[in-house]
Amino acid sequence: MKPHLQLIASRLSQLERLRAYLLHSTGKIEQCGMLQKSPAVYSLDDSNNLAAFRMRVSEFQEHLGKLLASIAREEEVEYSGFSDVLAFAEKSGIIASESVWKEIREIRNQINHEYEDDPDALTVILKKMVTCIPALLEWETGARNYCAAKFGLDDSAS
Amino acid sequence: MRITNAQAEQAVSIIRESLGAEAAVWLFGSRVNDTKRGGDVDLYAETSLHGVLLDETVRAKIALSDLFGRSVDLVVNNHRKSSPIYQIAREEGIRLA
Repeated sequence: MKPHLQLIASRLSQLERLRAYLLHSTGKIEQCGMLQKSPAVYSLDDSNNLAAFRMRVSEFQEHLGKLLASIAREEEVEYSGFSDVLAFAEKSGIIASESVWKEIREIRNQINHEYEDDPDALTVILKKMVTCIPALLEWETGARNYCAAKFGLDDSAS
Repeated sequence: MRITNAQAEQAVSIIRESLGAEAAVWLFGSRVNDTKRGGDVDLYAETSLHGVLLDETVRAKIALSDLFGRSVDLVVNNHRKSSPIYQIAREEGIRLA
């Protein structure tokens, strides 16, 4: 297998683990009732669950982005920035929308910036982040299917 | 300041489209310093719109990042809370609108 396909296979393998982590963290947020309670009454466990969830969303989208860039490179797409990669991914049907990708990334950034000490905002952003998870998971599946169809990569290849 | 007048006008337009036509806008941070190079674009906006304004802020930041082709920090003050960064942006920044 070409080194670049090996890299894609390793990214797919890594994303499979990250997907499990993300699902676990999302489940924790929902099970602990954090979407209903005010951050003002979060327990230390709640705060840990929130920190883990934020990290899992970020790492999942970042790694998915790296996979998309690797796929674009393998497909010999000329790109000068990540927007070109997203445009390719949207055109290929791997992701539904470049603008929604950017929106999710920006929502992640918002929770990391000025809202940390703002309970009202934190609740709104957390709910919004949870609604973004299905799209991220769907796009990862789309990338996996694309790699299987185009490069013959499946789980056994990783 | 180290953004062009055209960029400043477009940035104000983008911000007002999301945060209200009366929004006041400042450029602050390293981009107000002509002796520095590069760096993110820091913008501060005051608006009378109520609420958390998540969707509005996200929409504006994406459009601003596309405008400048780089990361943009947009601090929004709609008078729900206080923060030292608001005063710093007003005092050290350049008002764009």
